[in-house]
Amino acid sequence: MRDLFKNWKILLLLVFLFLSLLSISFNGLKYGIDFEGGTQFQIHLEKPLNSSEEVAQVTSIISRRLDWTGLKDTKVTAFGNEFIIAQVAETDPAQVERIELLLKKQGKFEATLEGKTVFSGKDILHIYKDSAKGYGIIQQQEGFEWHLPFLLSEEGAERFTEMTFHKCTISGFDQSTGRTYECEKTYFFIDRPEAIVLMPPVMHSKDKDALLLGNFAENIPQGTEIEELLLNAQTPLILADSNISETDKNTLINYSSEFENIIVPLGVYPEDFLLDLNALGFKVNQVESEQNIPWIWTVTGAKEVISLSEDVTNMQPYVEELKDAKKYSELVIRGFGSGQDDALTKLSNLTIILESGSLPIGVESIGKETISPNLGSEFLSVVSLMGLLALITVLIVLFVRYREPRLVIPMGFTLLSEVIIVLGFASFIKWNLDLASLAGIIAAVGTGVDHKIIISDELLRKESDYETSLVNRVKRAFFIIFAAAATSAATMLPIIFFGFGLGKLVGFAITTLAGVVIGVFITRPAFSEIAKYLLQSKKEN
Amino acid sequence: MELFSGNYKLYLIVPVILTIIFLFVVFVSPGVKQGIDLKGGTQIIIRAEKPVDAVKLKALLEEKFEFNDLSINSISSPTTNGVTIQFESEATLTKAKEELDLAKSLFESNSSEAEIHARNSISFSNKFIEATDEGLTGKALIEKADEIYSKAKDALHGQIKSITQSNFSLSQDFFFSTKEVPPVLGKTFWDNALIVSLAALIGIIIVIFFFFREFIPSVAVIYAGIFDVLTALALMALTGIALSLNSIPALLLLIGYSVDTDILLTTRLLKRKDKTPRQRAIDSMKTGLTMTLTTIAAVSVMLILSYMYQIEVMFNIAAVILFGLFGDLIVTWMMNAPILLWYVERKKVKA
Repeated sequence: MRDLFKNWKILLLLVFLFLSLLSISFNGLKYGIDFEGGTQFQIHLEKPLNSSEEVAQVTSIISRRLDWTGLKDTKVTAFGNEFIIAQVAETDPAQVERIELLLKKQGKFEATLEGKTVFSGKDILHIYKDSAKGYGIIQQQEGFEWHLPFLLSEEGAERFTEMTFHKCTISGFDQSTGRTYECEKTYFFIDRPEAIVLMPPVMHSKDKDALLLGNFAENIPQGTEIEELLLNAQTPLILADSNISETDKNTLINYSSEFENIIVPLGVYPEDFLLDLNALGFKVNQVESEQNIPWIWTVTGAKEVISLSEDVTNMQPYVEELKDAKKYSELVIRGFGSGQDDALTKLSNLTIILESGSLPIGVESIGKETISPNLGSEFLSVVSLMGLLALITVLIVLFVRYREPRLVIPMGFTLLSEVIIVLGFASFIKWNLDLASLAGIIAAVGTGVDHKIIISDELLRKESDYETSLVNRVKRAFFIIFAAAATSAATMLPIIFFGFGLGKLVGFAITTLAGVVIGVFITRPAFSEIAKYLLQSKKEN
Repeated sequence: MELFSGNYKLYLIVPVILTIIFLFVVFVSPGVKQGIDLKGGTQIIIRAEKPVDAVKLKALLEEKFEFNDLSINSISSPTTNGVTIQFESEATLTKAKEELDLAKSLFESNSSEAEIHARNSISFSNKFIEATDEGLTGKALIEKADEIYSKAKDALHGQIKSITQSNFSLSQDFFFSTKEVPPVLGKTFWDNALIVSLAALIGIIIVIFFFFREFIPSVAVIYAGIFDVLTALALMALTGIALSLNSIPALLLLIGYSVDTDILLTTRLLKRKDKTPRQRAIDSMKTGLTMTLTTIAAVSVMLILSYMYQIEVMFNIAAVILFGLFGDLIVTWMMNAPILLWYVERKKVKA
């Protein structure tokens, strides 16, 4: 037995088995909507994209766009250069439809100052994306500074100049740079809601603190005040616990002529409270709150807070009268990143925001599939049961045929190892397992059984049949196995290379191919060694 | 075992006749159906506590809506009941979509004409939901019409679900899945699937010729693979299992499975010199049948469990593989074996 563990083929199997278990326990297995429930959108673009950069750009725009709506656990992947697959956890038909619309339409960008719109998406004529105009990152002593230059329309520039005129105050004096200024802030929104916001006071004070504290990842600067945010968002706020006071009710009634929608946090108010709001004539939109991100920031659609600078406000150089003010149609937004990557991310995110999340290429059509979570989780347990029962059935058939536990036990062991290693591989590449990819695993295991039968039959052939050593017999078996595996690979590779858009097929092909490769190079050689050893020791006894 | 004694060439008649029958069944009548993922359409699967009467549900739905190619299958097993509702399109909704597309395409050239079409689209959509054009004009109007169309589509799905729910008293949080594939997308998938299948076929031909380097045996192995797929397709046509993104992988998989036994047989007959070729064929059959039998056993488990729990994807995959394996039993032992035996024995005579 000890000899067996010295054999490198068996050691190889054990090492891979160990690594797979490690990968599964650390990375875990990821499941697609088939098992977790959720909705998958297949977005077919009007024209194929030209480069991998464009593919990456479109993927990140779609991904951002979904993030902005406060959706969690969204996965966006490109298949080829024509298909984007977006996966969300949402299954409620109304919400799914909202997301579909969102994917089709471009967002509405607005920059506001003191509650009034300074410029909006349609005022932005052009975003200069070349370094000659200053777009990009510059390494400074203090870190990486990014620059985003863009061009405003005539009308937009005029409004900008008028509204921002002298919106800075002198705050001090600096030896090296001269005067320092404190300027007003503009707020950037995407799809600012035309709605009233209703939240409990506790949540309000929590959000207030969180905003003051700032959030680097969400572009919330330190010291952001909730009142200023709400003023800029132009959304009235009403604070209420689970009952509405008479005064609030009256306020709501007054608002009902102006606003159709009301936004409330998900799962905070009781059902009858929401029905009361409906009775007052409002459509209620429940939005989930995410950890670490102020809820109010998400629901108002706020994306960035950008300070004005002394030059655009005509403070430096100082212009006395508005009529003489210099009109800025080319504006530059500047910011700092902690590192190069961070600066680059900030720059590209802001670019997407200014472009209102619009895709460089239109969407031709969107297909979608929704699976309710309860159905998905049942699928998973049934499929697991299915795998187990299939394995047992196969082993019973093998036992009936060979009546030789020495052969059937290592067969069972190596088959199980095959499954574990394929799963380990899937967890390592973070592949989303769906029904089709599990079918692929079953398929690979199926051919695994076939190949082990071929090896066993070669080994068991009577000595007198043909004088040849066990080594040669294994070799002969492996000729068959290689030919068969090469055929499987030939059927699966085209799917992986040309099967764009056939999302499910790709998953199936990847797991099948992984199973075949693992089988041919790892588990089947190990099995032949074990079987050889066990059969030899039987003969010796 | 005297299987391959006497005039074994007579066995060939069976696969030849079957090929002709299968070709007829697949390409002439009844033909293989295309699933909604390949031709576009909507599928709604609903799980129920009690059996759902498909005929009654169909009548209820057709009374309210004008479906194109509506099919309703109810499933009841000891563990679950449910119903699969599938249709290609709904007439009014199609009109709404046509008007919308017209509006979009006319917008650049003739905006007032486009606005008329957008309003027409909205009035067709109104069959499913209440919505107005809100006095919009131009591009905004077309966008609104698009939005209303999307909503109408989902409203239709919702109404189908609620009709099923109220008439068959399902619980509030019933299990469901919906799938919607626009026809354009289905067409693209279909084209893609064809390219992939063609590439796979070429790949298999190259691999087999590379390993065997002899014309007749290679052709026999490749034909065996094709026959398996043909058998599966024919039985799919007869049982009404559609060609879809679920059954295509199963068909490809089948090639991998079936070629195993053919490669085994070919290798043993051509490369080995012990015993007589006929005995080697019988030896191979023992191994080959064990291989096919284990696979049939495993696939049957898949088939039964996926039927019991209505996992359509798995059920289709299992059924297709099972069909193909039956084909493989026929083609390997009634066609491939006789051809190879004949080939080997003739070579020996010549030598």
